[in-house]
Amino acid sequence: MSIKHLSDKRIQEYLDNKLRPESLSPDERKHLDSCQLCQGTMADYSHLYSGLAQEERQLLSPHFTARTMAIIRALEKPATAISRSSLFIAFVAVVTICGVVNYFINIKDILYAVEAFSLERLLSGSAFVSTMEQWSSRLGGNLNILVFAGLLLILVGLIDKLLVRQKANRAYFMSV
Amino acid sequence: MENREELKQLIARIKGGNTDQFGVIIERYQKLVAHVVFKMVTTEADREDVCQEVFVKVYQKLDSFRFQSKLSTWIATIAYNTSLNYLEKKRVPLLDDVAPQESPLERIAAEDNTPDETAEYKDLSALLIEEIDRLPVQYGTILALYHLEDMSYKEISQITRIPDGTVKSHIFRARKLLKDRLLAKYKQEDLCR
Ligand SMILES: [Zn+2]
Repeated sequence: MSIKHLSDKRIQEYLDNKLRPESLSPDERKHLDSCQLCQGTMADYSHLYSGLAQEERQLLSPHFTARTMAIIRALEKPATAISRSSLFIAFVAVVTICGVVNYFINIKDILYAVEAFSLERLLSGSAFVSTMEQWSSRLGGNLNILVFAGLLLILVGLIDKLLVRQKANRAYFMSV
Repeated sequence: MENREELKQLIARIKGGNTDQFGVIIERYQKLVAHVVFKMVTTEADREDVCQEVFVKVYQKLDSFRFQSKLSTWIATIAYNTSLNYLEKKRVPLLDDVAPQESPLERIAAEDNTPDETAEYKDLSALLIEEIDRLPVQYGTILALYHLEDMSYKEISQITRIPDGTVKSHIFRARKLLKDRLLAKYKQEDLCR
């Protein structure tokens, strides 16, 4: 028997290779077969390895998945709020453009132009335009004020939705 | 272990808006996340919170996962980084409590365990858990990934951004430390009887 003992590293490598004989040299194998000290070290490591592979503790609580999913679902809400507010922005943009157009351009001219190309004329003469004309004259000069009031209402709603509630949501997630 | 096609479909469903399916990911990978987090986060009260944070990040970053690695490696990386951030905040050192020159036997001899305390250590697993917890956090994590998650040096290297060779030497060193400490404890236990 050779005197040189197997190093801890060699013994660990042997165990890591699932005790495949080719992971030791013939000399090392011969030594291991006959050396009680090395066999002892080998047994110690062997115990340690099985301990490490079984080292399971009480890990996460049974409700971990449900609780984490609740947080994730809650995270989804601001995302939908954002998409809803982008709808709001689009709506406000359309209304604003209508308001501006209404202010600077005589709406009747546009209606006549639309009418000229529309099927409406074929079907019921100029009923469409006359209805619009009636509606417009009933409102008289108050049309612009109404548009302005409408815009103001939407703006207030938007500020509430985008700034006030978003901030509350954010504060909640900072605390999670 | 990981069925790539099945995972792809699952992730596509989650990205498609079926949030509830993420529960499957949590169920499947919570042990892995816990193995990483529990080794690094020593404060019991914070462990589960950090695990939750990990899964929230996994969910938020799912769009950026392109199957360039295994999902388990990717999730373990997020778990490792999240735990690192936690440790940085708490100023816990990663590797500093092993002085290379000092023999583990000397260290144990220097500790004053009363015979009553020692008598409590009955089986290997209790002793082992105790000793693993005394290892530098990074050693414990690497050992868990290698022995509990059957990961290769390369995968562990990807997760921890430590070179393969260093991962290997950390593992060898950690196991030697554990073996020596356990032997010393057993001997001490015998002496106290
Ligand atoms: Zn020997």
